[in-house]
Amino acid sequence: MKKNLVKLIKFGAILIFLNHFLQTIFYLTPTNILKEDTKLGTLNSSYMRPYFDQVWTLFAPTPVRTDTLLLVQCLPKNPDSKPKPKRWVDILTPIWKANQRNRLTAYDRFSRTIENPLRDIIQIPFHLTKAAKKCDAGDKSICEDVKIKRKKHRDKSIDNVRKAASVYCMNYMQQNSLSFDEVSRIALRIRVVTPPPWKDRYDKSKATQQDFDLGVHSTVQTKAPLIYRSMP
Amino acid sequence: MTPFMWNQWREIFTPKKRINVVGSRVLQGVAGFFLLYRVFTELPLANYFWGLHGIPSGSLLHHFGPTGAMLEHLLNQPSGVHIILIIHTLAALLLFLGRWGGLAAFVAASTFMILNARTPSIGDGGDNLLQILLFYMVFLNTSTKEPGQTRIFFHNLAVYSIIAQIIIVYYTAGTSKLMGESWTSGKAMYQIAQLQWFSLPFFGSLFKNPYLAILASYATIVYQIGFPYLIFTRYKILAIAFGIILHLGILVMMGLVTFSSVMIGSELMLLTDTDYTKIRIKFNSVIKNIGQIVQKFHPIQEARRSEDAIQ
Repeated sequence: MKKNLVKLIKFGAILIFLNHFLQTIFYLTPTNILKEDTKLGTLNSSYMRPYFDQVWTLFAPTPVRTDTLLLVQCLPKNPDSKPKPKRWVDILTPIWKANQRNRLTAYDRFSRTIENPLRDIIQIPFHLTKAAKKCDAGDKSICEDVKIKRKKHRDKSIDNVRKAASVYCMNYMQQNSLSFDEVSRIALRIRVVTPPPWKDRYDKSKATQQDFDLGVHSTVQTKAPLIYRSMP
Repeated sequence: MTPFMWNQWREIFTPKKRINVVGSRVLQGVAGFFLLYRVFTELPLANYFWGLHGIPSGSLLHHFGPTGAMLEHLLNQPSGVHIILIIHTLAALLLFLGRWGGLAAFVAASTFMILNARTPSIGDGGDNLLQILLFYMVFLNTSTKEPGQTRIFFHNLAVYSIIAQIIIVYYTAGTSKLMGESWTSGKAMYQIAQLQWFSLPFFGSLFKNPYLAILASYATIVYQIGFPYLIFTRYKILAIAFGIILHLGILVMMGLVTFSSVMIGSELMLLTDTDYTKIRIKFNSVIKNIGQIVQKFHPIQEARRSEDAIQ
């Protein structure tokens, strides 16, 4: 009796193993007609997410081609004070430089708290790419839904960027013994830097940059680590 | 069923001994070390990453259902993050030391999932892979005592799962690259190396060389697609050695410390116990040869010593 039960458990385990890896392989195949709007596709997604969700494209098919920087200005409570053209501070480059000096730190993780939502603002987020492609292909029924979801995601990303960028203003306040009123607003600007294309690789002047203003927001009083303390 | 297939099936269904025990222990050690490394480097930022007044943006409800609400409540308390981190650290330490490996992997998988789900924006591919591997590692058995047959069956199934997962990672990464113009034209490494976020300035200059750029791009694609085949041939050790070098390169160039270390740990798991014995014998013979070379210089050292004694 016990022997049969053990056999049954082993059979069950092998079936689970086979099912799991078939589901994983199917989940990782490129977008195809079997996955799109079919019961099988829905079943597969609900099996894989959230516990076995995975993406292994790793810089493919198209690797990241731009550096997305975040420029900030800490502004006082007074609504008349506006961002000044030459006062923008790039708050990502010093983090990257610190990470390059010492790889065994959490600087990379910290930079991701800014960089990932920044990319979600300027690009279509990964989970909406399929729907956006359908919209581009002329499926008008899906366009409105994509638009609403993208706006919602963008607003959430701006809020995440605002929280992460507030660390700089909170550090600035602590270092200069200012009151919160003197840094209670934060101006945000995205700078997208594109390195020269391959054919102009020795000509630095061919690098381009584009700025996008994200407006002035209220600074978040985060539990801010003194991460910018030792940086220029 | 042919006799060969029947034997294979019997090997899986009623195994007589555990496979890849040394490799499994190495993977446990690497996983434990990885989790400890993350805790200790990120501890000063813990409240910021996962606390109430930090940047958490994810919901635990998708992962843990109603329990997720309780966990969120805990994490919103002043010391909630630290309670989770203490449990996480203990599990990581046990995993690193190879004690109660199954239980440690289960607890580490749970706490790691809580932290990843709470703040998804700080994760990378290494976290994604380790999260999945920790589930399989629950069934590994690396104790020195030989366990019963059912326990052996589950250990071996966990090893097969880890091997299958690594094959899937490599094959997907390789075939995705084949679909990208940047990779097939050889410009991909140049493009990645120009970015401040990922690369040191030195590599930015290095990959301006067309030969190096195309070699790096093509070698990566060939290796990633060839990996699932190579590990079943006699070139397995060489393939794994190449993979370790590749990931050390990624670690230095791109600073993806966690991703590279998880990949290296996983590749070391693929070596069988016989492979480890072969490597140990080879290593010992290399050490012996070095010893013999040093021995040749011994008379000179002796002469020097006697000169010193005379002075």
